Amino acid sequence: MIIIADYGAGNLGSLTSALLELDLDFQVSAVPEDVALADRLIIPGVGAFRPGMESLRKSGLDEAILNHHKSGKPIVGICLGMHLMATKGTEGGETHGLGILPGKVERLEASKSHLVPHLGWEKISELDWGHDYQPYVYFAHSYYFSPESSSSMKLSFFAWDGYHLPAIVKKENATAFQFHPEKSGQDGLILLRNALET
Amino acid sequence: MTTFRLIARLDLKGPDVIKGIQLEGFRKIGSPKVLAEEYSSQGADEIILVDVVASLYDRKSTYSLIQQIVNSIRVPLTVTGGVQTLSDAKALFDSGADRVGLNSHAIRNPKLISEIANIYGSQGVVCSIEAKRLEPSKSEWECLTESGRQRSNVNFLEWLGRLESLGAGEILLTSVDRDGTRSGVDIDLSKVAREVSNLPIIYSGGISSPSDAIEIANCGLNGACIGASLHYGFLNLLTLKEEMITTGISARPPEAKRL
Repeated sequence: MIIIADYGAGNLGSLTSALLELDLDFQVSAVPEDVALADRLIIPGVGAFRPGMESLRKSGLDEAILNHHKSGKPIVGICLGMHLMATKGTEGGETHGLGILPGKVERLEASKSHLVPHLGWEKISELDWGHDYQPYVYFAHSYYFSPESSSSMKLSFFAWDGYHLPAIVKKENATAFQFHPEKSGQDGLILLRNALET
Repeated sequence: MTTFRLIARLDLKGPDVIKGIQLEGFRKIGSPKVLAEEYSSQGADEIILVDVVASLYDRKSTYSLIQQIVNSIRVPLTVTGGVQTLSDAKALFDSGADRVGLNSHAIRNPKLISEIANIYGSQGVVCSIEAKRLEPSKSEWECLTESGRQRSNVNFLEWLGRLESLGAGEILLTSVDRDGTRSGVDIDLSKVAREVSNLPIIYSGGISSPSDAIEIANCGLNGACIGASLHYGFLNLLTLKEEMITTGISARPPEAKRL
């Protein structure tokens, strides 16, 4: 059973309908005991780092997520869910994250050619994709994950006028998406299914 | 470069998609759910619902409509119209809207923008601007409210310039003069908008050909929002995208062509 960790950060309608379309069994839960029973776990979310992390701590979901991660079973973070998996966030002062992915979450720097928030569809680079075209996926964010150098993560990038920023980060049983696979057409569904089967 | 977005615009009146000319004289087009699915399968990068008479109708049925649409499309959904308070915005997000659009009530109460952005993030807040030229020969526009029914005396460029610091994450810019007319893009409006704002800007109003959409991209704007030309079958998103990509504009290739 897939558990979607519900810590109150955003509507889960697109995600649950994506899992239905993939014909996968799932349950949405805010209870750490349910997370302990998950064979696959999704941390979704939109919003800010600090309140997101506080909400995970208050509910005890943070420990349940870390135990799940240690067990080696697939774990998937989406958007804010990805960011919370990082070592730390920098929004409104430094905040510790779950520490699953070595790196920190920083604000995108705006300019005439780098509009913030970064909104829209991007082509992302190859990472265990295996089709003869590259996927296009939908982004909506003002912060990004900046990986620690020399860490053992596999990354897919998107090009942002001169920069290459992480779109997917994989480390052992963890997969994190900066974009929204549940709103990214058929490509997004394929990426989501692959991540849950990692 | 972030890909240029092609967005289908569904103007909503109660349970129906309608379309007017210059935001007036509505004609019934069809079912919002059916049209959202149709345009999404043609390759729309996003769907925008504009609830043109939001305050006059039962909101609960709008929420349930949003839920149905979110469950049947695999692209983001923006909903604009009738948001007066943070709790109105919450109800739309809770129904599944990815972004919420504000116009009339943001002009009256600009703090509403930051209230919503502080909770949902600026990527969740779209400011919808209905810009009407003051005189045909002059490059001056006024912001209209209530879906073009009211004048505000608010100068377009002054308002546009304030929106980023107020917390808006995107602009939906409708040329009221061109809305529903299929008479081409207001290039002048598009260019001055890009000069003044560093936010993503989506243009709406008058798009009737691939060259219109290409012109919008060449003005540095980030997307084209199309209603009438799709409803009446003058444009198809699939072929429109192919033409844009052939011209060298970066856009998401239609999935239908890959599978």
